[in-house]
Amino acid sequence: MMNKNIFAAAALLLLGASIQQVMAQDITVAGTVRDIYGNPLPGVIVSSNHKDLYITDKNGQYTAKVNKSGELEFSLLGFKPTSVKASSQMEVTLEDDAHNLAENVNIGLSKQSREVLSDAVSTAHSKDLGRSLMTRLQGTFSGMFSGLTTMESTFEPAYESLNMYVRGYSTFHGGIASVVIDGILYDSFAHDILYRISPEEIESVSILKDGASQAIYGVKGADGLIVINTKRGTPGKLKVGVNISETVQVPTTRIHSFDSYTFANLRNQAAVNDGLGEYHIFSKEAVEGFKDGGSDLYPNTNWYDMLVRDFSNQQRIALDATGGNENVRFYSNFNVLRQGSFWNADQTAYKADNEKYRINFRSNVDVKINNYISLWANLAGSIVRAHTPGGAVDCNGTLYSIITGMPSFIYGPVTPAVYDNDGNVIEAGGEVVTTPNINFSPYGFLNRTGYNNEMNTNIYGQAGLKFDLSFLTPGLWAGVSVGYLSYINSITSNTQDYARYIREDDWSDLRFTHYGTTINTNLTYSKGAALYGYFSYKGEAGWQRDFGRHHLNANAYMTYQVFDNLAGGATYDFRRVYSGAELAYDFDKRYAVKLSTGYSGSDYFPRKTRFVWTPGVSAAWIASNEGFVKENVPWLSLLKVRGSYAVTGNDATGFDRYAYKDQVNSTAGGKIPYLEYYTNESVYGNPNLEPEKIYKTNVGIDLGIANQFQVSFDVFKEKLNNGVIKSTSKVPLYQGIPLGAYPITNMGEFENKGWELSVSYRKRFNSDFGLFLAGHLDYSKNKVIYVGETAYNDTYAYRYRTEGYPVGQSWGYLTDYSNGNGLYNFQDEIEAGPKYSFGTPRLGDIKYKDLNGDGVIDEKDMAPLGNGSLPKYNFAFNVGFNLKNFEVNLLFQGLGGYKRNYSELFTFQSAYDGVFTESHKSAWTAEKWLNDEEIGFPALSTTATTNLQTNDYLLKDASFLRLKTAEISYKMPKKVCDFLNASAFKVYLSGQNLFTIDGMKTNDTPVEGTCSAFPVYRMYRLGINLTF
Amino acid sequence: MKRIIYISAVCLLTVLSSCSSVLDEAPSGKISIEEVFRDNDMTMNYLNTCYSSINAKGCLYFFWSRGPVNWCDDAWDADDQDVNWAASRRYYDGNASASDFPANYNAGDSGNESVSWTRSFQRIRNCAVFLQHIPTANVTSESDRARWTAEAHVLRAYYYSELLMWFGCSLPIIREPYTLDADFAKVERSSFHDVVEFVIEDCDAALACDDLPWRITTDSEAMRMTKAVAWAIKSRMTLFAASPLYNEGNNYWEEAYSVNKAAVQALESNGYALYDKLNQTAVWGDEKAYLPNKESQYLNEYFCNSGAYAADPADKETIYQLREGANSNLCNVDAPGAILAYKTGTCPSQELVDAFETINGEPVLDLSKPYLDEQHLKPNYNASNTLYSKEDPYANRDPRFYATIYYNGSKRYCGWGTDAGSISFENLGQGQGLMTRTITTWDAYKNSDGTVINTPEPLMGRSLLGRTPTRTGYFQRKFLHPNSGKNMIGLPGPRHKDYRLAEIYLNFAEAAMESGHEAEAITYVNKVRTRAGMPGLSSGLSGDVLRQRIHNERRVELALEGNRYFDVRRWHKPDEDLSATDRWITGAHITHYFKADGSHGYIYERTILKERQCYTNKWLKMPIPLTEVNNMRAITGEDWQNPGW
Repeated sequence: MMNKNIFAAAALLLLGASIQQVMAQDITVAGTVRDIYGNPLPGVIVSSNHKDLYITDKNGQYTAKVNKSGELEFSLLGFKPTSVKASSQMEVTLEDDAHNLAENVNIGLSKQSREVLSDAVSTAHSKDLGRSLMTRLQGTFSGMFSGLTTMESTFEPAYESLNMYVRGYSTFHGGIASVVIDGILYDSFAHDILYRISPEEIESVSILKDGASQAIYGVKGADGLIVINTKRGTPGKLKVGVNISETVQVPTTRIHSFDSYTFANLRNQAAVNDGLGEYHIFSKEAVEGFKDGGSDLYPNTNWYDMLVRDFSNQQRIALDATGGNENVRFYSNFNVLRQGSFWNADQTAYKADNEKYRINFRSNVDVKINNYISLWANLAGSIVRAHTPGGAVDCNGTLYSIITGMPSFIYGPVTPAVYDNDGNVIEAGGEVVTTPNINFSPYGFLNRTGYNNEMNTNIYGQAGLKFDLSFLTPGLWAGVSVGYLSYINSITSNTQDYARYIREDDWSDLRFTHYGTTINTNLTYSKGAALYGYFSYKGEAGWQRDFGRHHLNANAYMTYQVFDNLAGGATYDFRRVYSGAELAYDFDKRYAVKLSTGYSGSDYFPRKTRFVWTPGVSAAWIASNEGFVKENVPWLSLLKVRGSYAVTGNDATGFDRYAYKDQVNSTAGGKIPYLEYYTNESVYGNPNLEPEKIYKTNVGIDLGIANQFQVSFDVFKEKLNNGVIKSTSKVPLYQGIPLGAYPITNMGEFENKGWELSVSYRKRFNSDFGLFLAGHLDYSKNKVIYVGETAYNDTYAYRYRTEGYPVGQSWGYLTDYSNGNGLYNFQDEIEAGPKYSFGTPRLGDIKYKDLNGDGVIDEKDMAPLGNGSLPKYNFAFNVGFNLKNFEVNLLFQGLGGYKRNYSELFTFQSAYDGVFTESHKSAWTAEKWLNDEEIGFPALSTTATTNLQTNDYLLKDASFLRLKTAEISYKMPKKVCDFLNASAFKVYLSGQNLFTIDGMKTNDTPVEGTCSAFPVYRMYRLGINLTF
Repeated sequence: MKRIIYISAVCLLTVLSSCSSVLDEAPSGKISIEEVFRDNDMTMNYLNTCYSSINAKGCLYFFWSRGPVNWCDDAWDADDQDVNWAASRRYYDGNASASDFPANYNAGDSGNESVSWTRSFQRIRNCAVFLQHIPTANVTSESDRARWTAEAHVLRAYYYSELLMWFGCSLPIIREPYTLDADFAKVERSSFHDVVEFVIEDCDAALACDDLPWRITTDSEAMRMTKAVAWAIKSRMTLFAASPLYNEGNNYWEEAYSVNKAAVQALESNGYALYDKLNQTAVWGDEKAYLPNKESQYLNEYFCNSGAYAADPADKETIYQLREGANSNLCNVDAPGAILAYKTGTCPSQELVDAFETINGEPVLDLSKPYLDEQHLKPNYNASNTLYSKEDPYANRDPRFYATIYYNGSKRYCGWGTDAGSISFENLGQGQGLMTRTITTWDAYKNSDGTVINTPEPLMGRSLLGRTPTRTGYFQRKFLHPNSGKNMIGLPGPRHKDYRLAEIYLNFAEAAMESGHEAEAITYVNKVRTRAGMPGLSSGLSGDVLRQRIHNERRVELALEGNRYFDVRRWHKPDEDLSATDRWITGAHITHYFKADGSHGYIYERTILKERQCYTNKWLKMPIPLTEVNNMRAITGEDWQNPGW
């Protein structure tokens, strides 16, 4: 029988024919699924023996064919899964599941039921992610996952970027998480990809946090994984969703610009401090002239108002469709985004401001060819068309920063026309005004630099075959697939330059002269491109079967991947082989254990050591499923104790690509011509170099009360003992190998520890009112233990700069506040103070602490500033409720235990013609000090001062709490839906970044970002969601 | 079923076994060190690597500086003002630390313009690697193998000798390259003398080789090591080992004597001889060379030319000549700055000028105590010298003086790139171009009414500011072609002569004197003096007087060649400092005066320059790089640093 089947399967595969094998014992069942209040539940997955059969329609109805003796399982996120023995008509009621036990957690290689999952995994689903107003997938992650720290680095609408860290750093290389998209692993380079996926395409995202869940990913596991699953088709009638929204974006802060009177006074004050005398930069007449809003001769140009619009618009239209039958299913998505400009351009010859369109599409298709073979294919892509000013592709950032540099006293934006006495035009004017110190003009940048058209295409294609091997043993399957991911960026530029005109020195007249060598040029065409691609080949197999109360889920995979990056220069493509296997077993959903291992290798290491086993084990005891608990403590709806221990790997060490190999070559140009070439030994390889192994322990407990309230707590520890370092502290120079070429070794040590606390409360009080509260608080702290650092001698206040400190520890001088304000207030104080090795402090300059007491401030006095590059705390709080047709959801998100140095303010004041922000207004002057006025900044200067040394004066607590998203939605009543022939119709109003609480005390330095970059922006969105 | 499992297993194994090689680097042309020695040419290339860090020296220390010449009392660097990172200025200011020492200013450690611990040891390792592999390397010719082996030995000795001269401390001896798993905690440093013994061992290994030549005869082989270099290294190193700074209380003079005696004999019997004949009469014999006698002519000719590579060259004196020339740039960077108005560079000190005897063989100053004050403003004249005149101090001096120094009133014929100013009385009215000009270094003039105007002669007058004036009243001429200048800058500059026979003679003389063989010492000093046209030392001299004369002879003969820096150091005991020589450097303050009758003359006075800070005890030795010291403390707990750093 079996042999015959194999033969049949092979033959069918070859012929591509399709046979319907109808089992005689099948019966058709139908019915309605409802919640406890009797409302029909759409979207319930009806499955049997781990195979999805049907999804309930808008009326909660289903039909399915099932073995007469089989069981049907009904599951829906938020409800307890229910199994029912098959009978022809089945009405099913699903109970609420506040603990999400029914969740099928996608851990990349397989799906595991949350109830028995013993790994530490955070998840979010499309519904939650879709609430975010961010247009890039990555942007929607903030505050969504316990254990994932997100830090925004740029904030431009539709260009925002985000750094993500799973439980902080796992190695001292400071790596970031890898990404798994629909089962294919990509290294951290692929974070770039996440910018180009739209949130609409996503079914769920899982963050793999502990070793046991990361182990199968081998050398890419250690930094954590972000597992992304795109939506797949659901059988049933065609379902079409339409989502249309209009968004208004407003910067939360604006670049600080002073009127020219205030500016001139500050600038003059700086010159006085530098000993240049009063009215050195702006004459007394000029300062008087600037007063009361100035005049043509004494301008007060508000560059910001001139060039920046109050808001910009964004439009999105998303369409998705899903449907199919038991043989073919599909999910398709088409999604258009338009991002408008923030700029006021007045160029008529071409479009000077920016505009961006992004089109995303996806089509995921599953085809059942016959009972043995099914085929699946995902084709997705995104096309970004961006139009930007010619000055820079990244126009928003650049333009913002140069507006910062343009002070208000400059006449502008262009030179006036000059007339003779008869009123005839002598000079037409209209030339771009700037100054010798600035040499740019934001007006010129926007209007006179031409434009760039950027075309950015990304294709994500995956296709595979899945073989049902149930004829060998029930539940066994295998699959093969290929994946291709590419990025091609091409920029067509038509750029021009513009002549700079500067005003002549005489303030009593408005006369301008041409400055510098630039002239007004015609548009010049140029083109540039970049591309990269991942090619992956994957084979996998799984076996999922229940033997009574024994549940077994075993899976294995193997991937060969080539990554080719054109921008990487002359380096070879990167190649990796990943494989892994896991075996999850539970008994009666009470005792669960999962064994896993990875076996993976990358081309960074020599043959004999390039492959590494990364085994792991995790186990859980679900006490609340024990009969005695159920009987004796019925209110204890969840008690689960989890633990895991695993080895994870890392190959991204940041050193030479083939650091295991010697690099010897003969080079022309030796000293003795007769001896011809000379030998260049640039790298001494370490033939024993091996991938890093990080040992990870996780212990957690989940506690649920009355199916309403839940607390989860995880403690973790990660330890690296074979970190790759270039340890030369124990290597003398005299041994003769240049230390830069000295072999790297597996000697580094690193540690990362922390905990995570999640709390939630979820209750539906009746069919009209439900309440939901959830929050998480994460803590992580890393420490570099050994990187082979050479200790400084004991004349240094701190003998180590890296070892014993977190990754990214910065160093600088401490302000000596013993006199109250930390600044030198009178001359005797300077003379009595320590000597500065980097110049002489002026009055009003920062008084540094002489930590080693040698009377000199030099690098020996440096102290640790802040606590590394990552915040210690990551937290979020989510509250939502629904009342009849209204639903409200608020997400607060924040970071804590984190300091940032806002020292750019020190360099601002002497940059260009001087750049001042609010802080500079409170700068030290002798007068202020004598009058006991508040002083918040060292004395201004027109040039570099001793304050420019890295110091803690502007080291501020960068913790914040932000209302990340707020949404109120209204579900149209059935009447309206029916009128539109829609199954659902929702209208919503949402907002992002509505307010932020931080400890900055000033408005000019944003808690995230810098004052010269595009600030965090606020968004307001009005949208509709229609489902047909 | 079974078959399926079989097939699957076979497939899986095939896939897995191909995995390892699929991750290999694509063929890239990289080779291992073992492969180098499997090939004749690559082996030869590796030897070339061993040569790659021989310093250029001469005026090619970083930024066209004459390096140690300016860092000792031979001269003052005119780059001490305008360029605050110039090594000389940092020496004078004492601005130095173990992590940033001026002699290693160009700390990129890639060039050959600075002194480098790191680079020297890298090459020592290369030599050791070469010596380790050469016996079994695939070399086609056995005589090549023998010669290359010998060269690697001499090279290693050379790098060690440089380390010993600059750092002057105990060093680890590296016979074989350290392996990557070497335990550096167990490495021991050998004393200065033991390292010298190792240097001798390397040199002797090379001298035993029949295929190592005595002399290089073609230009493409320039700078390759020879037997003569091996002897020269032995000569210098034994002398150093016996000197007070390094002898650790032991008397190694007898050893130095015998090694030097053998060196002198070996060199003389293999064709090395002092240069004592004018070859290019048309240039150096011409009156426009302004060299007063035949000795000054051929001596200047010797130093201004690079020795030719030939079996029987005119220059038989040079033992080792570096390959990088001072090139045609010399008149722009190390000469009267007025020639091309860029920079002056080396300004010989008044102390060096004082060291030149008068032509009758009498020292100008009393060598036992040349100055009565510590600032060198009060010279202690030698009472028995009747020829010296304070009013006309440059008359009747050792011919080497005229071949070495441009002084006030000397003359130079060349293409001048500058106009003479209105108060350049000697060269008044001269524009640019080819002409003879008087070297005028006065920094004040006195009108006939007696008023003194403190204005330096605008072209060449002494000034403490700018890069083109002299600081001391003197300019370097030893290496400067007599006529190089504007439109003639193509005249070649000389390659630096790192070792020459006269030094070996003087090494021998010093060792002989210190070990009591005074008659031999006098004989060899006199060979050098005779060549220079000076009367010999009388055979009756001995003891301190003889020592002073021999020391002074070194100073004069080897002036501006870089030896003095090391000589003044090694002559001191470890606990002494250099305050007698290196603290106060003086120059000539010269006033041009007019007499009532319209004739004119000069008043010569001494003037101190800024007090140098580089004279204290710690300046006897260069500091070991801070990284190395930190590392060694981490490894052994020992402090390797030289005293004071």
